[in-house]
Amino acid sequence: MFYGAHRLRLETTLSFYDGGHVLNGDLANRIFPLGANTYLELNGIVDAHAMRDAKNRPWWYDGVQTLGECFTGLGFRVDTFDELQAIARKKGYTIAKDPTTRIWPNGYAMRVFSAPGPRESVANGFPMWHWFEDFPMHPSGQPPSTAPKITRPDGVAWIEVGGTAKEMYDWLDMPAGTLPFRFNGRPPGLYAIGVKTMRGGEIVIRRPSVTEY
Amino acid sequence: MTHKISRRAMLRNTAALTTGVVAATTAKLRAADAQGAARATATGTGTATAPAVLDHVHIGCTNVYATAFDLMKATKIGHYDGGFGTNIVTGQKTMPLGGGVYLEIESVVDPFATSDARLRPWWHARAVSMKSPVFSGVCLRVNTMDELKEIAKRHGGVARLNMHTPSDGPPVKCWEAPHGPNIRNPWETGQPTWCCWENRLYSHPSGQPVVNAPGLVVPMGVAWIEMGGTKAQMQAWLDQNPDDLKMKFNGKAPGVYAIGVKTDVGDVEIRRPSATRTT
Repeated sequence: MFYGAHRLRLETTLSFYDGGHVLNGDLANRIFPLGANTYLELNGIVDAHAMRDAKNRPWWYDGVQTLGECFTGLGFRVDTFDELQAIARKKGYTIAKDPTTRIWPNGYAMRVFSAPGPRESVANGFPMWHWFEDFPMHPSGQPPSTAPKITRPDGVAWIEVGGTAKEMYDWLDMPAGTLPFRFNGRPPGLYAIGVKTMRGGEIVIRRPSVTEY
Repeated sequence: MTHKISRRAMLRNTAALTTGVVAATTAKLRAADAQGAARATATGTGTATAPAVLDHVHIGCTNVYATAFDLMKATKIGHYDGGFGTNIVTGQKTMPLGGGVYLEIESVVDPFATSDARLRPWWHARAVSMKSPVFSGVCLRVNTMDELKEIAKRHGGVARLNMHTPSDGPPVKCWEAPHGPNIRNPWETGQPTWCCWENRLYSHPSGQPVVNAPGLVVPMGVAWIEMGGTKAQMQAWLDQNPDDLKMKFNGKAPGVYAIGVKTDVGDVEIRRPSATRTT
């Protein structure tokens, strides 16, 4: 994660900040704000020894070990917990009582409730939904580190995914064409994003999808 | 009432100020050198250089995030992201301690690297077996590369470039000694090493801003450092009086056992097992 974030900044000129560690302590994040309330979460392991026990490994561990750095999925945001519950009911999923909690380096505990679980959604190449308890503290709005020649992002222009439009919009329960998806005909999963910049033009971030593992 | 100052006069004033700073700095360095020469003579080394000062203390652990965060919670001393190390498999958090000293907290952050013994730092196994962050070493600072090379030569080694890349900037580089194919890493036997930042001391890790967490104290330097072994052993290794470095000795196996940090609200003690392997 440390080196991955550094390389991604060199590659894209987008910058990041230290998002802190997940409450169980084994994983931590570097956050690349992408503009327009979106962000890229670079998730990495910071307790290498804990990974010797397979039960401590995140669901994407084997995929990353084989494919290298890869896209693990897309998260959508809802405004209220009620909306998240409605989605969970529709997907036959029960929202975990304890949210995912990420401890920022300054001690702030950011809490996010999600539905459905990653194994029922992103691991199959389809998005999951999140509700951030304290939206003004949303990861997209925090300042990235300064670095020479960084570019200010202005939102996601397009998202390249696998599968078909019908599969995706059926999953999302949204009218076809609502979101800037590009379908590449490969297995469902996330393959690339185009990020608009304040300078004009766009920056493309392309990685294998973990669903190809 | 305002006074107009000509550009030439301003330049003259600036030049005068600049010259003043240089003169003051040179005077300070001369005084430090003279003090070093006097001290060197007193300790019988005959080397006319300033004594080394404490630069940083290292904590090795299995989880750099949890360790740094827990330490911040316990001591109220702030920290910041130190970035990744030279071989990119370790990550660091830096805790400035005041007085030009910092605590470096480090763990392996590439789980796929832990199976490769060449990539694992020596303290990793110790932190795993102790189930605790461990004090892994002390590094002292000298002012010039000549001094560092002289020390490296005295211990039968050379100086080696060490580097880490923080999240907000270019790589931070310093030279460390002694290293070499025929000598063991001094930290493994509880001996301090030395470093030199050449002309980059202005961006020393001890001087960088910490994450602004609530309730932090202001660290004001290391009050004491508890080492294993004896004062005589340490003096022989350092060729310098350990009292200069506020070292005290507990007679256990050589290594670092604790440090006391002065803060604006009193002293804070940080005590961890020593990672030292004496076999």
